[in-house]
Amino acid sequence: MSKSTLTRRSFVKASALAGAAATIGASMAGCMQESAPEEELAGTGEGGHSSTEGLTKMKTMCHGCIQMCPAIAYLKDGVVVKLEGDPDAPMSRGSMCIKGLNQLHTMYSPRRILHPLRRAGERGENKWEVISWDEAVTEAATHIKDAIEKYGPYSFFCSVGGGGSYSFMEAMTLPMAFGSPTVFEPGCAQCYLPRWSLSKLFYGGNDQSVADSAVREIFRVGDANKTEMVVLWGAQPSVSQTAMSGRAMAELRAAGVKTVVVDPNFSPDAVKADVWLPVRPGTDTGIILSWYRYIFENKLYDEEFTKYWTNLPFLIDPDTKLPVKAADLFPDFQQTTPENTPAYVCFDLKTGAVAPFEYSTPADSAVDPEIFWTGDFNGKTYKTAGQIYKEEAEPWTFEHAGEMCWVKPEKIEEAVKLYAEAGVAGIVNGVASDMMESASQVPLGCMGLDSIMGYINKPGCTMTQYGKGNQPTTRPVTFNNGFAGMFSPMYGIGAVVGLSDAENEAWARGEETPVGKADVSQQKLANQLLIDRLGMKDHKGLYAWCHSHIPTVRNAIATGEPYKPRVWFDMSGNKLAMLGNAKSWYDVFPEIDYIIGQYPHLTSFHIEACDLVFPLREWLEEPMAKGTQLNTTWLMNECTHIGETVSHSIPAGRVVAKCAELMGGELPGLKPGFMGQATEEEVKAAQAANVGAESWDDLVNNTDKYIPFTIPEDEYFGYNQHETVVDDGLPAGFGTESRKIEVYCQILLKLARTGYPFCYPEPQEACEDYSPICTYIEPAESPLSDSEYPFVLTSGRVPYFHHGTMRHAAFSRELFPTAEIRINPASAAELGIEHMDWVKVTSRRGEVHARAYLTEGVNPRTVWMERFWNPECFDESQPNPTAGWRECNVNVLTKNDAPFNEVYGSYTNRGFTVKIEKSEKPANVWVSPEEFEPFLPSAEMMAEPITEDVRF
Amino acid sequence: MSADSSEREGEEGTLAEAACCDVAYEADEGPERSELSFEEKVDMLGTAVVRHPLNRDVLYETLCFCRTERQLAEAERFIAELPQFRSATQNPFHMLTVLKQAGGLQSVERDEGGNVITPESLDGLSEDEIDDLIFSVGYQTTDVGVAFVEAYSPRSRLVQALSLAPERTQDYCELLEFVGEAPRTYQEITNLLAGRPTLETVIDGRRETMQPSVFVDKLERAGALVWRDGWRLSEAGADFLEEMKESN
Repeated sequence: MSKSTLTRRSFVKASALAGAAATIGASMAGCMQESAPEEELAGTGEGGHSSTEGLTKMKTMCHGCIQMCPAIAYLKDGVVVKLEGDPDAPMSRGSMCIKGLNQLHTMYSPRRILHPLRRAGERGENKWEVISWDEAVTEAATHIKDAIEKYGPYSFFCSVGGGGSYSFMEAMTLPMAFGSPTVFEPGCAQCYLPRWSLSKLFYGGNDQSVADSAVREIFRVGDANKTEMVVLWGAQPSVSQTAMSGRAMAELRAAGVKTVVVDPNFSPDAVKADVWLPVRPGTDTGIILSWYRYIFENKLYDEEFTKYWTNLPFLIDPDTKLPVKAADLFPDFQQTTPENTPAYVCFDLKTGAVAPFEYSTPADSAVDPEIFWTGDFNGKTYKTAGQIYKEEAEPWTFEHAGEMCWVKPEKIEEAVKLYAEAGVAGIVNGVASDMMESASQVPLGCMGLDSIMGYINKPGCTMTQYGKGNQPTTRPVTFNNGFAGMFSPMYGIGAVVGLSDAENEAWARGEETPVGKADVSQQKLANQLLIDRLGMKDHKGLYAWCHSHIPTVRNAIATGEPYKPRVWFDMSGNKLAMLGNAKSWYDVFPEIDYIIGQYPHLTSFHIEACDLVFPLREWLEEPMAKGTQLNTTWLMNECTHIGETVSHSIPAGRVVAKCAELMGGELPGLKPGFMGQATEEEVKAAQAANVGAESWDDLVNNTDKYIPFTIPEDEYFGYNQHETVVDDGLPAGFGTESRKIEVYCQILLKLARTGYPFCYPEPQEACEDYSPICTYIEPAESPLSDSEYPFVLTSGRVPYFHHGTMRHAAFSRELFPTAEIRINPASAAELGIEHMDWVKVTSRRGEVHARAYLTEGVNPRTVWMERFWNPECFDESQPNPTAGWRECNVNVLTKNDAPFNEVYGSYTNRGFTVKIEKSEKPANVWVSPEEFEPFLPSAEMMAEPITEDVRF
Repeated sequence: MSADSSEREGEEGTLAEAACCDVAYEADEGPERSELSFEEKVDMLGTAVVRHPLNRDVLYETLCFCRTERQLAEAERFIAELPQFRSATQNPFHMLTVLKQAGGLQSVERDEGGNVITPESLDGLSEDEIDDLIFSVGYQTTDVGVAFVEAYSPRSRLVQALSLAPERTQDYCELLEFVGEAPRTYQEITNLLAGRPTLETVIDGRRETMQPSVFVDKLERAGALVWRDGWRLSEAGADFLEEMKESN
């Protein structure tokens, strides 16, 4: 980033925060390696080091995105006037990005909601009445109680997602408290769930996401870092998490780490990559399969690891598609391993025969299993899982992949050689695939590649496990249903993968098992909620986070069948910006009886839909102590607090309590049900406990004692955990049924057929089998066959915004004022479009407008937009009542109908077809810096008195 | 989705489609009301009436009530006493204003003698004189409002609901009868319908078991059921049930 860009201050003259804004420039420069040295800036007035003399300094942590960078806030008279990164943080090391620095604008934005608001006009009118907390809580609770009384518990539903507040646990559990199965998040199936959930089913370990801080090993500090090669597959940390993993990736590259970037867009990480593969959106699995083919054909895989630590040598029953167990083919076979560690069958190279394959260390194995084999046994033809994968990959030569995926074959070869010939390497799998029909296919493929290469649990690999207690002592198991499978012991639902069948049956009866006892007193209701959840018959992977299938929820609202969700508690964000095919949701708002929102700001969703809005804290006000960097945990401090805003769990906590009161003391759902706090005291106590402090006061008065909360490196980082011999005398292995990495993800077949392991003990209806391996799926709207809509559109982040947030931040909006669409100059020339011309982009769902950004960095038939662009430019001076969500919102274009990803029901946010034509600038879209003046922190907001916690 | 349920969704969409704020939004930027056809004016009123489910029946009943001219206080009192008003999100005056702005009601100003004050009669009067002249303000449903009331009458909505799912007719009738006997809780209705084959349906090619609330919802939105400390028959629901019995 150039100095001139960073110091451009054309609107700042109007800002009451001029000093603070200058600091934004300085801190961003500190974030990027290309910045000019401070000495060059000395005396220019652009150095940005305004004096902190007389200011109060508070250590805190940014929450501008899902990675949380430790930060320092400076306050004057209770007003935060400057932010900078905390140099003690191990990954961000003093950096903050534009998203975090913009907190100064969002915190004191005129769009802040400081008090509970009740709609005073019609939905769509920006008319509100300030009411008391008691009134607001009573009103919300009364509507929920009335709906449940009149239509039953399934009339209530909840949602979250979109940034700004992160009430995932609260959203997941609020419907449970009322006995409703319906909750959704526009992220979830479209953002992270497929990768997170599949990693648990695949090997019971951490996934390959950097953005979600799942990958840590490759960012170890100093000599402990052994990273040699990283593949960024559909990820751009330099943009998404600039100050933390983006900065850390820059450091890796500077240290000589090789990188391959697979991304349709020439992202900053692609610019710096050794090889960039500009894949056609939605066709990533074509390249993945070509890598498998090349690695198999050239025997580049880690043979011993693949033979003994993956299930690829297992014989697969052609009828059931499941691995054959030794006892099935060899009736006299006596298994020597525990019942929870079944013996399978392989083709033994030592004897040249089909043989039982018991679990053991490689050295102790009785067989030398063949990975690729087809043959007959007892009159039936079997293949190994490896053979099935090999045949799937066989058509995918570099030439075929190049043709299908719009990438030069020689580049694919160059990339896979870098990956396969490295000493250690690892794939970082980003969010891109979650937003496509192939949402389960890509992580299966990427994790499988790292597995056959043996890039597991080694220094420098992305799939290396970490954390306290990182050395197993017992056979690993994987709990399911919720984060860490928390609802399994709580409600007695969900089988524990790694227990034997008999042990799981005992678990479901609430009896003692090797992993303890489940409370099964509410199992029947909990299981019924699983069965009745919308969309679960087909997309059972959603069980992992207990979420409903969003398009099915929408259709249930529209038709009223099989039941009608009708009172909605939304816990964050702008749903019109976040939900695919936003207008299809807008169309069903009149079918929803009552809509409760909570957020720090008013968005177009709140204006168009909500009947009541609760005010939330911004991160400079929020007490939280659970943000981590590597082995350290940091404090998000309550630096200040204005208005009657509260922590994000409190509105629901208060409403739950009020509902219980109105319903005679008892809610109709599960207990404990809602898992969130109802008062600030409870919130603060919970946060203090996270880092071992006695109380919140103890924590904030002794910050240096508790923060960072550090787990010693030798306890936190560990290697070759799967080889550790545990209490049954066997190597620990992995938390799967086979105790091996299930590259052939056999449990997906059980999931499709019964809902196992989530929907247990009572099964869900069967659906079509899910594919246990990575396969190729041509996108439903394909540029190969679509002549009416000739371009394929994909999307991604820009550095200025996170999810739906920051659109109120004047500084970000000046830098990126309108929707842009990246178009190849050759294509633009054919359409008569020049750089920064306005264009109309049309999909089969709708049309929006954007400015054309001409770049060679996209394929001539690919176009790229910011993934959640929506302008939020409503203002009393603007006659437009929609806040621009119709005119410039990329989610007006996205596709939320079938085909969905089979496992998770993910719809198509990326990789659908559009057409483009030159247009005029739509009315009411702000472009020039001066137009964003209504977003600047106002004197009134800056003068808001510091407030105490809202007392209930 | 099966052809059957697809059609059902499409037809049931008539109210929802009317409710879609698109129409209102487009109307904001579209032609003046005077340029709209009569049918378009009815649609526009429909949008306003059904755009918020908790106000929908109140607005509809108000249009019915005001077919005879009503004084403001009388209309407000009527609204406030409706059982559906308990859950409504707006006050009576706001609702009257919404209906007026949407063309469903016209306000009628009268002088002390009960004569309608026309624009012509205000010529040359000062604001104070105008205020002195207006003795009462009433509301009366317009021709557009009357057309909407008839088009969306509970009877027509019920007929539509039955025609969309004729296999449910018997259960709809039993439910109406059950509720007609005494106010019913949702649990009592659940017990009545539990296990019935008509709770089975097909959505997107999938067999699904509906919640009994589907039946309550369909009958309520048709205007046959109303909640007042339990589900009860509305007057229209009672009439319809009687009619159904006679036809059998």
